[in-house]
Amino acid sequence: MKRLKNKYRYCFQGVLILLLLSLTLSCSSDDGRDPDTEPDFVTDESIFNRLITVSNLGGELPEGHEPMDEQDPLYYSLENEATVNTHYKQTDRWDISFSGIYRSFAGGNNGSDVANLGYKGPGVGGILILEKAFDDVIDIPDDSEFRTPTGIIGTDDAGAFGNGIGYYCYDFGGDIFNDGSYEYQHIAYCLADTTTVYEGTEKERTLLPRTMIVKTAKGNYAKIKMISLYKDLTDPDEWKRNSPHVYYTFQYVLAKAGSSKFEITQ
Amino acid sequence: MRMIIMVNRWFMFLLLIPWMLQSCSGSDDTVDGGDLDDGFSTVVRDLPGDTNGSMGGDVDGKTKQGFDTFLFRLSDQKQVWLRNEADSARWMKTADWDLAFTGPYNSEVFVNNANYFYNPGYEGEAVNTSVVMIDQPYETVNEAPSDEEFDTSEITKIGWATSAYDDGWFFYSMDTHIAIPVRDRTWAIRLPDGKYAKLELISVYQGNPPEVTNMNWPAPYFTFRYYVQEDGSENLKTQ
Repeated sequence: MKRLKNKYRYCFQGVLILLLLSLTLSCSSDDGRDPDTEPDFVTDESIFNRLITVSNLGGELPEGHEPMDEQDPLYYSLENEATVNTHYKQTDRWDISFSGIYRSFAGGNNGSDVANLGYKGPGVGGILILEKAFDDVIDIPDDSEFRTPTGIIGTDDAGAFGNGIGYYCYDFGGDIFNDGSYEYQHIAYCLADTTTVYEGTEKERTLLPRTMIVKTAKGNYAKIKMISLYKDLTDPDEWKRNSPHVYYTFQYVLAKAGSSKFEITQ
Repeated sequence: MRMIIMVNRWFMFLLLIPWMLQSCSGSDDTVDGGDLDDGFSTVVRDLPGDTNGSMGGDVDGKTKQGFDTFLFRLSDQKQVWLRNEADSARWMKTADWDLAFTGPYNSEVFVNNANYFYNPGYEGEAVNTSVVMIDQPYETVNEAPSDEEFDTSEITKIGWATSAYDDGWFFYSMDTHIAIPVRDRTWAIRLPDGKYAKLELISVYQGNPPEVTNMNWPAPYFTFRYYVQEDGSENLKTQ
């Protein structure tokens, strides 16, 4: 009797597997989700030297671009202003990845660093962060300044779990930017502008603004101002513990390989 | 559905989820204390961190917000708490301590150093200290790195490893809700007195259990081991 039951179960499992297989096959053949069918892009010249604003990135993502798991990375093309299918990680179609806890750690695309998601791909990029306001970042740093591992710029040492100079300060206890009350705990404060931490206490300190610089996969450059990780909220006063996250809002300017300065001409 | 729930828990992970440091099971390395003793190293078991600290409001029985920092001296295992301004003034800028356990759950460890702003020893006496990460099992680290390596190390503290390549002593997984110590990772240290040492951080859980499934398992209680070469040489052999 038991054996018979098992037989049926295997039979059922077999049907399930077949069903799943056919589903998968049909998906990949005709709806554009197959990475082989997503067209590559040619970088448009008009993308350079203008201020580009990206709002609430990470909300509605195309199929295949959505990370499968909480800590799986999100890939974004600064030159194409679009997310990239996760199957394309070993290509130069993406310039910046967000990975790690809540995908809040940024990295560039570099094929020669084993610690990079684009390892063995054609990417020649990297990332760095400066303690300088976005508007004041003019000179493009030397290529040797860029760091190539994935997920190396995120939390700032001013807050909890800091990882060097970061683009956001994690206020674990809510007492760095506020009074420590419940709704202000566990907030990630982007450090785009000059900020004051522990205001009014003996620990008070002013933090300089942070600006990230990415060398793109294809060798161009972008300066990036990370503004918010909360949906539709760009004013730090509005960030609360339960505000929807993570939705990246940021601004950037691209400069062509060979240029020495960031400038906005259009 | 699960995805949505998890996203709403951003950054509550340390509290909602137990601090489970899952020891390597089935091997003979650092499980259950016994094997930690090598006849040379000092093994510290269940050193209590700030067990009254919390991030406030959420956890029963936690009496205050935030976690007090404590200092630790390798030579005599002296633990010093920085509970107030007077404690900080008395200790922080001295060379009388080697390690500071800071941050949430005291999990972020600094080597006393005068040169980095966020180091509790900032502007103090420990001007020449440094820490170097070595991705090798503790017992196989036989020699301290060169002074050049110490001088050029960019590690400012030993805390959370955001990826396998990041410096840090524990991972946190959103899938398993378990914080896992990075295995086969050793910290070579140049101490305030110039001596060389090696350190392995093993567990933040009371009893250093091989596996924890109870959400309320007591933490932080630190298990770690270290060896200081007293003759000033770079020899760190412990077997």
